[in-house]
Amino acid sequence: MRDLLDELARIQPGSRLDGLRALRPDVRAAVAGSEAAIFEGESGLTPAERHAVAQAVAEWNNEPALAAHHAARAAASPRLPALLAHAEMLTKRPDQATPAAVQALAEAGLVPRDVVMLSQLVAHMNFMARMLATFRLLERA
Amino acid sequence: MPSTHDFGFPMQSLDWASWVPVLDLAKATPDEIKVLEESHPKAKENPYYLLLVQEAEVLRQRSKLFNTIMYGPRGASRAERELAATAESRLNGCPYCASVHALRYVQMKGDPDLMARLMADGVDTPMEARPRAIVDFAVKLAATPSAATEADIARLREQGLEDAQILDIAMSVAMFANANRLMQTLGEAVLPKDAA
Repeated sequence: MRDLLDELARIQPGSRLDGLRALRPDVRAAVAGSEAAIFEGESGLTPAERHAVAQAVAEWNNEPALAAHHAARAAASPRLPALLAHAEMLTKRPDQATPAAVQALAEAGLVPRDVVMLSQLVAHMNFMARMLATFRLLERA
Repeated sequence: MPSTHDFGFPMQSLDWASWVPVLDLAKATPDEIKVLEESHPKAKENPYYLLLVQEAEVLRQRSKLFNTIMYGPRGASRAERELAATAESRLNGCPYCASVHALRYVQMKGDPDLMARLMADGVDTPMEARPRAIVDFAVKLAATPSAATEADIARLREQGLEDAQILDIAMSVAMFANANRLMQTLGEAVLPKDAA
């Protein structure tokens, strides 16, 4: 099976990178499964909000193809600034996390399950960005 | 400004306290129990997993990803995957993640002296060429955005790593870009109650 990383990194079937990825097929399956669970699962965060946060995390990581993938499905909402502020701290300065930051999300109307989804989404996007960076290096080096 | 680095990086088992309400295990659905059991042998007693299982399918997929990247057979040695994960956790300031994986690195026949110094002094502590190449790559790939270059890949190859092993090391770093951010921002490391 192929996943979003194959598509965005333009990994051709039968190529050297395809062969390396084929050594761990569970990674492809779990990336595809994570994408479905995070972006298509039922959540208090709308799909448009989730894609808007994903787009921003991809941009902070300098991953334009990943950002463009999510931009197509993103839209703003009144609480999106609060979601983006939290996503920016998680992405750029995770050591600045405090209980007050989580409390700010509750004040923006997020229930615990929504906080988990937002955190998993940001964490997942930081994973995806580093995978794409790695594939570029292995392709060129 | 306070930082999650302030706790320090003791090389001992730590506990973790959630800042967000966690699932009451007595109210867990059969599917939530199944996801917990798939995630970690002690997940049912662990507040981190009881927090994350509130999005059960997201946790199921993430645990599958984590377990295949960190524990899958062949490829990079378990110790070298743990070295990369611990270096990144030390850099990012996740004491809980760093302690778990520092101890696991030593269990997997890693160099205990190297790891004690990495925990105490940080990722710049002196080390031999092969762990140096792995730690330097991990530190650069951990940055936002990634600062890793083709020269880092070349150094890993010079140290005898095959590309499949380099990809394993990179996936460990990518996974801990994820894990550090969850552990650091949803709760905090605490000393175990029975610790002296």
